[in-house]
Amino acid sequence: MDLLARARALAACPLFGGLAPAVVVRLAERARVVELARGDRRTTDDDVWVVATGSLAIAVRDAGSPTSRTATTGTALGVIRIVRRDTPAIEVVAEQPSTLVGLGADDVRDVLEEDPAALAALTDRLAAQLLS
Amino acid sequence: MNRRAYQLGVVMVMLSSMVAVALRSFAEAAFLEAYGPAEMPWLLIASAGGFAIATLGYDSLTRHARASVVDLGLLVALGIAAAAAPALLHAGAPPVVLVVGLAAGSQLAGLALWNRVAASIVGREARRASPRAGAAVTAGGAIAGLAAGAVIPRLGLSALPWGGAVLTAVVAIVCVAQERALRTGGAPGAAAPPEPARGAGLVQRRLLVALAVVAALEGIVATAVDLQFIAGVKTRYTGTDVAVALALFYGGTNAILFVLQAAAAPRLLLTRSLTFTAAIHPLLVIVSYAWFIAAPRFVSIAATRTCDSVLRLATSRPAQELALSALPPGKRARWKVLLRGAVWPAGAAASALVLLLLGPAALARPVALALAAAAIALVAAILARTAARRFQTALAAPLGIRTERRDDPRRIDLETLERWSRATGDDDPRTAALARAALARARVEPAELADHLRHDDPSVRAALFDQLVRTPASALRGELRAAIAIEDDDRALVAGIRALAVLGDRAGVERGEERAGLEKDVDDTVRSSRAMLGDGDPADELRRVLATDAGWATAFVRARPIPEDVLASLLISASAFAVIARVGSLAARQHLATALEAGSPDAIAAIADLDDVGARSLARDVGALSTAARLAIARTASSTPAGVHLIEALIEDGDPEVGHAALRSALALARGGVVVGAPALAAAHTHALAALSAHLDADRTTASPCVRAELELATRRCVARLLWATALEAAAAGRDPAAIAATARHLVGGSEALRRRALDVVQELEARPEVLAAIERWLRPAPLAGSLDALAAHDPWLGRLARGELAQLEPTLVALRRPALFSSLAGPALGELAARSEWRSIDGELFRAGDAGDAMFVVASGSLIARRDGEPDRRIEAGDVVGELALLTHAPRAATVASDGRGEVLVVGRDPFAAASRRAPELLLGLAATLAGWLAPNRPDAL
Repeated sequence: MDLLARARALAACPLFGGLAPAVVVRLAERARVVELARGDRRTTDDDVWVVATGSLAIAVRDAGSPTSRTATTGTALGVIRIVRRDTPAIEVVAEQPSTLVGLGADDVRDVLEEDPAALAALTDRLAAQLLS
Repeated sequence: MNRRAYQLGVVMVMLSSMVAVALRSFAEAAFLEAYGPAEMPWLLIASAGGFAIATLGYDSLTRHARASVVDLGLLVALGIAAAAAPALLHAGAPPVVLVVGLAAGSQLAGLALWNRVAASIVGREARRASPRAGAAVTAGGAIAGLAAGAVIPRLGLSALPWGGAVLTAVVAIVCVAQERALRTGGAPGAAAPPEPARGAGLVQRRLLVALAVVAALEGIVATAVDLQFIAGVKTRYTGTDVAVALALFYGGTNAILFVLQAAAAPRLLLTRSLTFTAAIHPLLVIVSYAWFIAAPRFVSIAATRTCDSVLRLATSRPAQELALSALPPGKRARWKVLLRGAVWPAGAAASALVLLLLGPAALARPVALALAAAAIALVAAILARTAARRFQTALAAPLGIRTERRDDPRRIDLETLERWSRATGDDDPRTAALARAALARARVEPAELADHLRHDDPSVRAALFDQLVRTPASALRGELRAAIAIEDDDRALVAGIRALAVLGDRAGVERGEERAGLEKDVDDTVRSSRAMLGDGDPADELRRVLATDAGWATAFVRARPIPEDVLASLLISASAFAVIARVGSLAARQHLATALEAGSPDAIAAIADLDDVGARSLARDVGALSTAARLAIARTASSTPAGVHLIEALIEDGDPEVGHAALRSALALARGGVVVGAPALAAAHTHALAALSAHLDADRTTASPCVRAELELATRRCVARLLWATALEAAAAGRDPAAIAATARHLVGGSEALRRRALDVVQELEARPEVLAAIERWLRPAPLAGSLDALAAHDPWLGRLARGELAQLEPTLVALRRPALFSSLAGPALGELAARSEWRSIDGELFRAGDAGDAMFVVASGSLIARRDGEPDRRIEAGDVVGELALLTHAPRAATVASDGRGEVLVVGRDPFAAASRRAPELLLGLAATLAGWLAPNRPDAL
C-alpha cells in the first residue's frame, strides 16, 4: 500500500475521516501496513489499527461469558491508546485475509499535538464515540 | 543498594575465593604428583564434569528448597570435605576424586554466594559495585595464592585444606549475617522486574541461547589454553615446585585481575555499552594467541593463559552478569549458576574430551591447536556482541521501545506520481482531496522528470509541471519549452506556463496567448505570468492570484519583487498565510503570528506545508514573533522536512516550552531521516545540559513547597530535553533515535524500576558520560546551595516564581497541580491558566443536571457529591475535577453536583482552558483520557 492508499484507508475510518486531508496524509506518512492471512492472530500492542480490507474477530473482555465482535473495513482498533497508554492491548484473529494500517499511538499524538484543530476534531469524535 | 548486605557479601565472597584457591592448589598439586601429563585431559574432564553435575544438583535443590538453606548446607559440606581431604589422600583415596570434589564444591559455593551479593545491588549501582565485589574475590584469591606459595614449603601441602576448612566455617557465619541483612534491609537486586512486554519471553530466550553458546565456546577455548599452559608448567617444573609455580601464577594473575576489577572494569561498565565490553576478552585472547603462534614459548602461552583467565573474570563475567540483569530475578540467579557451573564446564569438558581423543598429537602440534582455539575465540567474540545486542533488546522490551527507521515517504517515483495524479480526478471527492494533499507534499527528483514531460496522460503532465513550479529546474528549460509548445490540455498548459514563468521564460506565455480567450484559467495564468515577467502592475495581479492559488502567489512574489509595505498590506488583507509563511515581510508575519496564537488551522497548515526556501526565509524572522507563535511553529515544524530550518532557529529558544517543542519536532523529523545540522545539535546539547545543571544546582531548601514542586517538574522536563538532544545526536551519527527518545518518557514519568532500566538503556544506546552523570545526579539529588536566580536564564517563568514575583498565584498553582490532568503541564502554561482561574466558596449546589456548562471545577477543599438518576452517588474529593466533560463535548451537565458541607473550588472557564490547550495540546488529550477512563475502563476493544 502506498501513501495514498494508506491515507484512503485511514480516511475511511470515521475517527480520522473528519480530519483535514493534509492531516490524514501526514498520519499516513507515519503509518505501516500489516497483512494477515485467515486465522492469523495479532495484538495491537502500542498501535492503533484501522482495518483497510477484510474482517477480524476481536475478543471482548466484558464481564460475563467471553464474546467477540467483528471489525470490518473502516473500523479502528485500540483507539483508546491514543489517550491512555495503560490500556491493555487488543487481540484479534483474522476471519478472512485482511490488511491493517497501523499507527503508533505516539505518532498519532505527535501529529495531533502539532495541529490543535485536528486534535479538537479528533477528541470531539472520540468523545462522541465513547458517549454513544 | 543494601549497603550492609553488600559489604557482608563482599567479605563472604572474598573469603570464599581464598577457600577455592587453597583447595584447588592442594587438589591439583596432589593430582599432578600422582599422575603424568598424559592424564591431564582427564583432570580437566573430571573437574568440568564434576562442576557441571554439582551445579545441576544445586539447581535442582534450589528449586525445591530455599537458596539460603542450600547455600549453608553446601558450605558445611565443603568445610568437612576440606578438613578430611589430607587424611583421605593419605588413606589412598584417588586424587582425582579429591580434585573433583574440592574444586567443584568450592567453585559452586563461590557462584552461589555471588548471587547473594548480586541481590543487594541493582541498576547502574550494580555496574559500579559488581566489579568491585569481583575485585574482592580476586584479592582473596591473590592473598590465598601468595600465602600458599609461602606456606607449602614450611608446613606442607596439608596446611591448605585445613586452612580452607577454617575459612569455610567463617564464610558460613558471614553468610547467615548477610542473609539477615538482606531480609531486613531489602534485596533490590532480587526485586521484581518492570512489567514484561509481550514477546519478552522470546527476547529473553534468544538472549539466553546466545549467552549459553558464548559460555560453551569460552569453556572450549579456556581448556585448550589451560592444557597448553599446564603442559608447559609440567615441562619446566618438578615436584613441589609445580604447586609453588601454580600457586604463584594464580596469585600473580589474581593481582593483575584485582587492579583491573577495582579500577578499570567499573569505569568500563559505566561508560561503554555491552557490545564493546563483551568482546574485549575473546579478542585479546586471539591477540595473545597470535603471539604464541608466532613464537610458541612458555612465556607466550603463559601470557595467553593470563589474558584468558584475567579478562574472563574482569570483562566477560561482568558482561554476562549485566546481560542476565535483563531477566527476572529468579531466572537470572538460576541461569547465572547454570551458565557458569554447567554450560561453561560442559564446553570445557567437551574440549578436553576431544583433546584426549586426539591424544599426544594435540600437544605435539601446539601451533595448530592454538590456531583452532583462536578461531573458536573469534566465533565467541562475534556471538558475544550478538548476545550484547540481544541484551539491549531484552532490556528495552519492558519499556515498550521499538526501533524502526522510515524512509522519507514524500520522495516518490514517477509511477507513483502518475497514479496520484490520476487520483486527483477521482469521482470520490475525498480520494481526490487526499491525492491533492499527497501530491502537494510529494517530491520527485527533477532529473527524473525530463523524459516524461510529454507523458500521454494530461493529468500526469499537469502534476509534473506543477512539481517544476514548486521546485524550479533551469536544466529542464529546453524540455519544458518543447513540451509546452505542443501542450493541448488546458490544465496541463496552465501548470506549464507557470513552470516556465518561474524560470523567467516567456515561451509559455506565448503558447498560452494562442489559447487565451478560449479558456479562462489559461487566460488568467497568461495575465499573471506576464505580470510576473515584468509587464503591468504586479500588485493588482498579485491581489487576484492571492485569492485563488497560494502556491502560485508564492512563486509570483519570489519571481517579482514588490515593495515591502505594499506586499505586507496585500498579504495581510488577504490573510494569505501560506504566502506570508514563505515570502512575507516581518510585518506580515506578525499577522501570521496572531493567527497562530489563535490556533488558526490555515495558519498552521501554512507552516506544515512550507517548502525549503520558505522555511529558510521564515527562520530568519521567527525570533521576532511572539512566544505563542514560536511555540506553534516549533510544534508544527515536524510536519515537513523543511521544518528543520525552523527547528534550528528555535532549538535554543529562551523560552523553555519553545525549545522543548523544537527538540520534540526535531526528533519526529529525525525518525524520517531528516536531522538538524551539527552546530544546532551541539548547541541544543549544551543548552539542555546547562539547563539541567542550573535546575539541579538550585537551592530548594528555602523555597516554598510550590516552588519546589514546580522546580522538580521543570527539572524532569530538562532531563527529557537532554535525552532528546542525545537522541538527535544518535540520529546524526546514523543510529535510530527512537529508542533513546522513548527512554525519556520512562525516565521522567516511569516507576522506580522503569527509571533504573531506562537509564541502563540510555547507557547501552548512547554512553556519553556527561549525560549519564547528569541524569544520575538528578536521580540522587544532594542538598545544594546554588542560586535560584540562575534559573531565570533557562526558565524565566520559574525564575519569577522563585523570586516571589508570582507569590499570589502559588495557592492556585498548588490546587491546579493536584488533578492528574494538570500534573505534568509545563509551568508557564499552568501559570497562565492559574492567572485566569477563579476561586469560589461553595456551600450547597454547584450545578444541576441539564445545565449548560462552560467551566470545569477543581476541588481545592472539602468534598462534593455528584448525583445522577439511577446511579449511586459519586463523591468527589479535594484534588479531583468535575464538569470537565462539558469543556470537551459542549454537552449539558450530566449530573447534579453539590458540596458536602463547606468547600472551595477553582473555576476554570472554557476560554482559559481553550487558550491553555492551544499552548499545551496534551490537555485535550488528557481530558479525552479522563473520559475514556470513565467509559471504557479495561475495555480496549470498546473502540
